[in-house]
Amino acid sequence: MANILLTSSCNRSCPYCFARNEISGPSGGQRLSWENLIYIADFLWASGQRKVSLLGGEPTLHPQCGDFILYLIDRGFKVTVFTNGILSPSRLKEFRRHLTEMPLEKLDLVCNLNDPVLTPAVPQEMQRLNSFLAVMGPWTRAGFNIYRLDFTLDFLFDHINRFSMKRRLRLGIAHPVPGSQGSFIPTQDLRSVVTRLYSFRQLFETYRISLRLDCGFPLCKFSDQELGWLYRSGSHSPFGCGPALDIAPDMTAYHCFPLSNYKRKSLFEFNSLEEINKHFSQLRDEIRTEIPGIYEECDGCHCREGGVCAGGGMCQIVCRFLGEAPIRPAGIEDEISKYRMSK
Amino acid sequence: MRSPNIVCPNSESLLQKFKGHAVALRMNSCDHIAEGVAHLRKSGNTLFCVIVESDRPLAEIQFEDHHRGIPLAVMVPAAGRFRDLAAHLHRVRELNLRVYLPCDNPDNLTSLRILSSVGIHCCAVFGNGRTDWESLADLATYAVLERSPHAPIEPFAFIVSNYPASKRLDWGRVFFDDPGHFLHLDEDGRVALSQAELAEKRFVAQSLGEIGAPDEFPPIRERLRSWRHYFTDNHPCAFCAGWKICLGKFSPSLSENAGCSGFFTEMIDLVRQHTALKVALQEQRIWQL
Amino acid sequence: MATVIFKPTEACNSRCIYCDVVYRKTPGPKRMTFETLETFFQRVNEFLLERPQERMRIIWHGGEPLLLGPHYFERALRYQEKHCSGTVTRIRHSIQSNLTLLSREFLDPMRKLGVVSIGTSYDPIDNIRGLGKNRDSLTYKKRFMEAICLLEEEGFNWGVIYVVTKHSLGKPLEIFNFLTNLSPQKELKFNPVLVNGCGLDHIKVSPTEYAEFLGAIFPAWLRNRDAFGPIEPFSSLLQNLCEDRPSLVCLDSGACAYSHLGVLPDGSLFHCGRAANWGLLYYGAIQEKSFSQIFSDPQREMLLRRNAVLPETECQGCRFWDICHGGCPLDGWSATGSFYHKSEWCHAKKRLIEKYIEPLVQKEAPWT
Repeated sequence: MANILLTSSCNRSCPYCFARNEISGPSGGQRLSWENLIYIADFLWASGQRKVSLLGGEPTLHPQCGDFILYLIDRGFKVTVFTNGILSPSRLKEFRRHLTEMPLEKLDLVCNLNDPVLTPAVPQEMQRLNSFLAVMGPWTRAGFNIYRLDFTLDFLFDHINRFSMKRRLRLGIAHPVPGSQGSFIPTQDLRSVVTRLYSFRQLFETYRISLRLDCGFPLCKFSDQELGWLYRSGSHSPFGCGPALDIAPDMTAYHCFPLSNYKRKSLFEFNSLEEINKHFSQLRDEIRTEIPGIYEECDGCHCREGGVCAGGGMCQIVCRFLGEAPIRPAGIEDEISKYRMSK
Repeated sequence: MRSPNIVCPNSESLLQKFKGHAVALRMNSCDHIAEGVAHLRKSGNTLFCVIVESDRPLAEIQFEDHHRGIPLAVMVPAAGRFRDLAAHLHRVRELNLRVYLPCDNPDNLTSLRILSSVGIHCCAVFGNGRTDWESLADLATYAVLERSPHAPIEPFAFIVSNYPASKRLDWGRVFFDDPGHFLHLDEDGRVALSQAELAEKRFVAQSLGEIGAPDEFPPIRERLRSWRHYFTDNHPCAFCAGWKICLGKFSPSLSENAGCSGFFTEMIDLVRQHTALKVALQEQRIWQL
Repeated sequence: MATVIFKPTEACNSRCIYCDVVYRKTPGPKRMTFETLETFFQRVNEFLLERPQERMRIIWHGGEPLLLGPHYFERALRYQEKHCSGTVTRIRHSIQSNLTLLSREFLDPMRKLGVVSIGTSYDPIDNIRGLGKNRDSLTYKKRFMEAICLLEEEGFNWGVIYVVTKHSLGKPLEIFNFLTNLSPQKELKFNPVLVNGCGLDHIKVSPTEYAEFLGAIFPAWLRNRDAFGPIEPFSSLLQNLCEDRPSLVCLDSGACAYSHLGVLPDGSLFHCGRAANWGLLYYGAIQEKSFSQIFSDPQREMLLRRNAVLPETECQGCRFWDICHGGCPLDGWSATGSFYHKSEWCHAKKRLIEKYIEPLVQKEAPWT
């Protein structure tokens, strides 16, 4: 699935944000134009892709966000919108007027929620979020990014029940962004995260919420029992790593948010999605040839070699490169040097 | 020259004054379409199309079920916001309709692309001295070379289908502006050779009956041959590569329409690329459902 | 196919600045008599009966052939019907005219003679071609436009020869655009102005200048050539170079000795139209000699011998010999007084091919 960034502006400041390079970089503040959206739609359609995700920054800040959603749906795409839910009253009114008749199978929203206690928001933001969920709840899944070890999930179940949201939770792990100082979970703490996650299983079962894990979790940090629970909750094969394929408003494409500065290339240089996937898969292989995974034991791991687990996230490996002496092949070192300079 | 099509206001009494013509009825709202078509059919003429000249955006126009099957040329100042149009798209696509948008602002150029990409046949109206020729060239490139299914954008589709031509190609008929194919009548039946001339009351006859065989009627004959003066007068347009397509349409306002030469020269190249692509692919466009 | 440059008149209503007939020739009879006209068709029939496989192309030329009036063409048609009933299927007529005298009355006899296309010339630059002593270009152009409208309405094809003069050199692309706009998809041919002798330096172009003029146009033609009709010399050069399908006009073929004949109003027979204009290679009179005798005239051996001499001398080793053959023998004579020299226009062709065509087309000539 392709991720289209409508804008790199955002109205929230999350401590773990892995789009910060995009928001603060050269394309910061940019908005996707209609012409480029049409180009992307044509490109994806011709490549056989029928699902798109709209992201940001905060995509609902784009003045034509509603138009774009309706357009892509009319073109035959299933649209997923990743939002923080903090919509202006006028934008919410627009959503209420034009999107609340939309069949559920055509439109999917993922609302990234922050813990109101650990990551408190100002009252106006909370109010807007609640107003948004009151209107768009049935179309919305809850999303959460784990960036500290003492995370809780209770507030998520509360939101899901209160606003009749979809009974599926998207859970991600906050990844390091090479060259950046945001909060993330170090690789040595991933086992603690899994243990704590497992401790919430009763709530998942009680409220009948299924779970989808985002990329970057390593298989080896789950016990067989924990894996069984994951499978039963609906999270199948969550141990891969990209390419996610993000397309920025300036029409450049990159592997994923944390690696937005790594071998970024203009969409116009490709003729199909297949070519893009091939391009980024090659760079992934390039890195993984150097270091197969985030742990030493990834090298030679039969699960990694069998394709069941990717060996953690590429962003975590690249961050590791940054901390080491420049000993990689020139292609990798040249890309990494950009992060070093930004530090 | 065969009997020309008549463009005239929606007036029952006017329609009674002539027979046997294909008529494009002009009106300024969709409310009178059914009534107008009924009058026309009673008059002994046939329907070419209904021209709706509205001052409201496309998104605000209410189309009805009974408009289906009637060829409609809808001339609007803008498409309106997509969110407002989206609710009507399914109905609009059921119609035999072409949307005319003036290209005097960048929003309409974008709207044309949007409409085409969602399957609405549309037409770019340009050359009033406010055309952004570069942006228009981008739109033409999309219209002609984009391989993803999309509806035609006139006059580019017409040009591509008919060029290169062994005779001078006048795409003005897309805008009902071709005396070889259209004559324009006012409420009193007076005849002009284009809508603009009708508005300026530059009539060539007081009634259709005066005209007889159109290609022998001197004003029409002269107009059809007027291209010659570009060559006898060594007009700068005659030396332009783009003349093959534009036929000097923008020469009266060359100072305001600077950029037309580059655009039409590029249009020739687009046609060449389109032909090469068509030959290479030998594929048929399949409409996107 | 035998080609006859048939000049029933050398009178002309135009005063084109470079015209040999108008300015340089000693005036002769202005119009072919009906008696001579009838003899001409008798000779045509005689020739075609002697050579059952042969065909003949008759190019009406001048002066301005339309000065003869439509009745002259009707008379020609009658003589052809009378004398060539058994060979008429092997006769093809075409006409070279400035079109300024064309009217509807000409079209019927032309049609019956089998004329489907008329060759003409045009120049947008004022005072190059024009009517009367004052060279009235505007009236010329207006009448020309009337004529081509009439031709198009009546289903005739037409093609343009453009003569490149010094006045043309500064605007090759503009002239190319003008002519292709005027005659979409029609045949267009660029010729350099050909002068015999001096006195026309103000319009003469050198081979290099001519090559550069064509070279400036070639890329525009190549890019969109499918949209144009045949444009010479590009179409045939490309065909010769890239498609290995020889397509050579008389001055490139080296074969005009076998094929060409010029007839003047008084029945004088020369090698071709230009030879007649310059008073070269006179073969006799139609009243006394048959065409077969003319085609066997010993003077033609000189032209045949030229094909053997040049490859051993000036054209030795030239990779373009097969598409040039030293150019028109008359041009060789014009520069040196001898037919055994190549045309100066060979240099133009070579320059055009090497500097402009080959780099763009990127294919070696098969003879290298």
